Amino acid sequence: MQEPPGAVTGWLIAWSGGDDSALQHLMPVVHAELRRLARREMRRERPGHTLQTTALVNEAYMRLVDLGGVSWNDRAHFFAMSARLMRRILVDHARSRLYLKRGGGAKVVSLDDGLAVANDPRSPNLVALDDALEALAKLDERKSQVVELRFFGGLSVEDTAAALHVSPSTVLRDWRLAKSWLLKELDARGHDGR
Amino acid sequence: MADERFRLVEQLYHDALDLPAAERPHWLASACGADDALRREVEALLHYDTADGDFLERSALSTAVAALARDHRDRQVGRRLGSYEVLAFLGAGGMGDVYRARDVRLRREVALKVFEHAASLEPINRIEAEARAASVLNHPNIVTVYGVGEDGDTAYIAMELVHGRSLRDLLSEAPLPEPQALDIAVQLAEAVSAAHACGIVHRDLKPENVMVSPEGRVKVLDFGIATQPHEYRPGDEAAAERVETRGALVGTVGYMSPEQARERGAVPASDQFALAIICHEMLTGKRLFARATAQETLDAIASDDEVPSLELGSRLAPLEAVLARCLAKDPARRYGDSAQLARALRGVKRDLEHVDVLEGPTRRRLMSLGAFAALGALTAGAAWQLWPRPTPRRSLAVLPFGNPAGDENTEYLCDGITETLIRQLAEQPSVRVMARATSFAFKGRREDPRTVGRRLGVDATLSGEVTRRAGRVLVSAELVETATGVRLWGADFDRPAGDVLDVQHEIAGAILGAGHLGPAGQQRRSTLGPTDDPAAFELFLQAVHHLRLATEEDYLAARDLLVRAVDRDPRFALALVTLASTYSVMTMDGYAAPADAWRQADLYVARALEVDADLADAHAEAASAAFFYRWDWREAERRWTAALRLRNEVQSELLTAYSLQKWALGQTRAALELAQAARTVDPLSAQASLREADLLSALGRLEEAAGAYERVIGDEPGDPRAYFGLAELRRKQGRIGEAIDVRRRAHATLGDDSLDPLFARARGAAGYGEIVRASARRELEQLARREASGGYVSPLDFARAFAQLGDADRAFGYLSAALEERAAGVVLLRVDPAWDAVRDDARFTAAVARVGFPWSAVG
Repeated sequence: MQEPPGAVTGWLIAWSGGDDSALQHLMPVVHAELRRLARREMRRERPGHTLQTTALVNEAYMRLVDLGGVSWNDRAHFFAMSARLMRRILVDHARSRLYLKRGGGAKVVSLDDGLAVANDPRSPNLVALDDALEALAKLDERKSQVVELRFFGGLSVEDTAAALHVSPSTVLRDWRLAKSWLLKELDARGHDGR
Repeated sequence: MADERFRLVEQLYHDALDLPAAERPHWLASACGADDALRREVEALLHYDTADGDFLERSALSTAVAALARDHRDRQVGRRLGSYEVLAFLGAGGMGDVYRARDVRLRREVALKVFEHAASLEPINRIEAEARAASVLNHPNIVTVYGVGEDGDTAYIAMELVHGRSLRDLLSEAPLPEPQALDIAVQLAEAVSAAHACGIVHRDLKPENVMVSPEGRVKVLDFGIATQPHEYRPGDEAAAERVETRGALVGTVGYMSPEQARERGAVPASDQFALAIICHEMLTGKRLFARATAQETLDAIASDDEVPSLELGSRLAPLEAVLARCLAKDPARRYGDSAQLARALRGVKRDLEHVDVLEGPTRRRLMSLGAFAALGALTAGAAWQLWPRPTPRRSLAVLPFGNPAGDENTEYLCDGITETLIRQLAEQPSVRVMARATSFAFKGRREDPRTVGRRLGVDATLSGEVTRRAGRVLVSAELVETATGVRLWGADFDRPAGDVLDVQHEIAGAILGAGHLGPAGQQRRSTLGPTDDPAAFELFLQAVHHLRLATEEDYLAARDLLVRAVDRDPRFALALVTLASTYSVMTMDGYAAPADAWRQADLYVARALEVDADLADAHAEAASAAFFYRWDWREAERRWTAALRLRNEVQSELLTAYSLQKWALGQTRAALELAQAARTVDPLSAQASLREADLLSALGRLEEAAGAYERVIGDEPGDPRAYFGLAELRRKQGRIGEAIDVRRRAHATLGDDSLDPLFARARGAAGYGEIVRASARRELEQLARREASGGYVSPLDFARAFAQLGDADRAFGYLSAALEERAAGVVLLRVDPAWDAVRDDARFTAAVARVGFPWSAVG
C-alpha cells in the first residue's frame, strides 16, 4: 500500500493527538519499512551487526514521514512520537503473540507477515519490559522517556538529549539508573532481562 | 515509593557510584542512617548496575529487523526453486543468501545462492552470464557451478556444496600452522592457475571466498560471480569493505590489487596479489595493508612505495621471495603465468617439509605395532600425545685399560685414557656410563668383558690395552655388547707417544659418532659392516637411531636417510631391509596408508633378497607383509621359521614381532615363550617386557604381569605404555582405586593434565569407565586435528577410539573402512582390548570372520 507523501505524518499527528484508529494506517507502513530494512540487512555478511546506527533509524523514520511538513520545533516531538509508535507496535504485537503462545517455548508464529521479535533469545521480553517501563514512568517520567527513545526509538545519546531538552550527561545518568531499575523490576516480576 | 523518595534514591545511587566499590557499603550505611529500607533499595540498584552490560543496548528496531531477516530465511526451507528444494540456510553471501538444497532429480545436495527481488537489484541476464562463465571451470579446488535459474523475481545459482569452513573462519581463531598454510596456498594457486588458463579472473579473492573441507581440500567460491553490486555508504564500515560496481571497482578492499584500487581493471595478476596477501595472513594472522578506514587501505595498496616487509623469518625466505613478487605494484612484474606461481609455491612447500622432518616436535605413537616397537599399548587407552623425546640411554662401562707389558710408566696412561673416556662419554645424554669407582673395581682383573658387563648390568663394555714401544704408543680398544658378545666396534691406534692423549678423544668420538651405543644386536661381518661405503653406513646408523625413537618424524627421517644410503650403495642389503621395515612400521603405527606402504616394503624386501637371499631380516619383513597385509598367515609362518633358522644370534625385535603373530592366532603360550626369549636376548628391551606383560595378563597370570609392568616402569619411567598396561591389569583384578591412580600417572608422564579434574573425582568402576572414555575422546580430538591438517589417519584408529567410547555404530563404520584398506591392526581384533565392549556385536564377529584367521582353541 503506497501512502502519498505526507500522509504518514498526518497519521502520526492524528495518532499523537489521541486518535487510535490512526494506528491501523500506520502499522502496515511501518511493517513495510521494517521489511525493507530486513532485506538490506540480509545482504550483509554479519546480520544484525550494524543496525544500531542512528543514521539507519533516522533514515527509516524519514522515509516514513515527510519531514518537510514538520516544523523544526516539532522535531523533538517527532522523535518522541516515533519512538512511542515503535513501542506500541512492537509491544502490542508481542502481547497478541503471548496470548497465542500458551504452550510455552513454541517456535515463532507470526500473525502477520513480519514482526517476529520475541523469540529472539537476546531480546528482552517486550511485554514485561513495557509493564516495567509503565511502572518507572509513575516514579520518574523522564527516565522512562529516555528508555523509550533509546531502546524503542534507537536514538543516540545526543539526539535523546535534544529531544528531552536536557544535557547528554543527564541522559547517561538517567539511562544508567533506568537500566538498573528495570532489571531489578523485571527480576522481581519473575522475568530475567531476556 | 513516593516521587521524592525516588529522587533520594537516585541521588544516593549516583553518589555511591562515584566512590570506589569497596567504600560504598560503609558510605551508604552512614548516609542512610536508620532508614534500612532506603539502604536496601539503593543497594539493590547498585547490584543491578553491573549485572548486565548488554541490556537494552541493542535497539528494539535492530532486533525486529534481525528477527524479520531470520524469519524470512527460515521460511525458505521447503521452498522449491526449479528442481531444487531448499533445506536449510547456510549463510549470507555477497548478493544473496546461500542455502543447502537438494536436487530432486539427481538426488544430491547442492548449495543454492538465492537472489531475491533480482529484478530490482541486478539484471538476471548478468547473473546468468556470470554463472555460465564460472561453469566452464572444472577443477578440484574450484567450486563447480551446476546451473542457474529463476522463479518469479527470485534468481538462483546452484553450485557444489562444500562441507567445511571458510578460511576466514579458520583465521578468526589464530594464524594457521605452517604446513597447513602452505598446503592451502598451493591449492589456491592451483585453483587460480586453472581459472586463468580458461581466461577467467576471480577479482575478489579473499578468505571469505575460500572454503577448506575437513580433509584439508581447498575450494574457491565465486569465480566469475565476483562482480556484485553492493551498497557502499560512507561511514558504514561493514559495507564499506565492498564497493559499488558503478565504477570499475569491485572486490573487497583489503585484498585488492593496486590496479584495481586505481580502477584500472583486473588482470590475472590481480588474483596473484590477493593470494599473496591471503598467504601472509594465514601465516601471521595480520592483513598486510589493513588501515583504519577503507579509503586509507586503498591508498596504502595503491601507493608507490615498495612492497612492505613480510616478516616471515629467515627460514621462510624462499616463500617471502615468491610472495614479494606477487605483491609487485606493477602487475607486469608479478608472475607472467600463474602456473609458474603454483610451481614456485609447491617447490617452497616441498623444501620446507624436508627441513621440518628433521626438526619438528616429537610425537610418539603409543599404539605401535611395528617390528621395532612393542604392542605394549594394546592395553586400554592409546593416546596420541606429545611426550618428550625419550633419551635412548644405553648403559656402558669403561673397564680400566689393560697394561699387558706391566710397564709402570704406562700405568698412568692407562688410567688416564680410562678416566678421560668415562668423563667424555658420561657427558652424552644418550649414554649412561658406570661410575669410575665401579669401573676401577675391575682394575687388574682379566675378566671376560661380557661377564663383567652382565654383572654390572650394562649394555656394553669398552675395554682395551695400552703398550709402549720405541717412542710410540699402541692402543687397542673394543666395544663389546654384553648380551650377545658381539664386538660392536674395535680399533687399533699407533701413535707417537706425545699424541696419546688425543687417542682417547678419537676413541670416544669414534664410538659416539658412529652410533654404536644405539641399537643392540647389529650383526657385523666386518669392522665396517654390511657395506663398504662408510658414508652409507653412517646414514644407516643414523636411520636406525631414528627408528628407535618411534615417532612419525623419526620414521620419515629414517626413510630419507635410508634412501640416500641405498642410493650410495644399492647392494646394501641391510639398509634395504630396514627401509622396508620403516615403511611397514609406518603403516602399522597408522602414519601411512597400507596399500602404499606395503607396496614399498615389498619392493625393498625383494631388492634385499636379490642381494642376499639368506638375509634373515628380509624374510622377517616378508613375513610381516604376508601377515599384516595379505592375511596369509601360512606364508607368514613359513617366512618366520626361515628367518629364525638363518640367524645365529636371534634379534629380539624379530622375536617380539613373531610373538605378535602367534598371539593374533590365539597361540598365546607360544607367543609368551617368544616374548620371553626376546627378553633374554635383550634384557633392557622395553618392548619385549611389555609384550611379555601383555601376554601374561592375557593368560590370566596377573601378578606376574603386574611385576613385568612394574619392571618396565622402573626401567623407563617416562614410557606411558607400561602404565596403561598396569592400569588395565589392576582393573581386571578389581583393584579399581589403583587402576585409576596408575592411569593418572600415565597421563602425568605424557604431560597431559586435561583429565586432572576427572581423575580427582573419579571413583569406582564407573569412574574408571569415564576416564577411559575421556581418554578416547582426547584421542579422537587429536586424530581429527591430524586429519584436518591433511595428515593420513588410519580409520582403525578412529574405530578403536569410538569402540572405547561405546559408539558402536561409528566404530564399526570405521572398522569397515579399516578392513577395506587392510589396516595392520585388524589382524589383532580378537586380542585388542579396545573392542571388549562390542565383542558380542554381530558386526564384530563378521569383521573377524572377514580376516579369516584360525583361532587356536588351546591357546
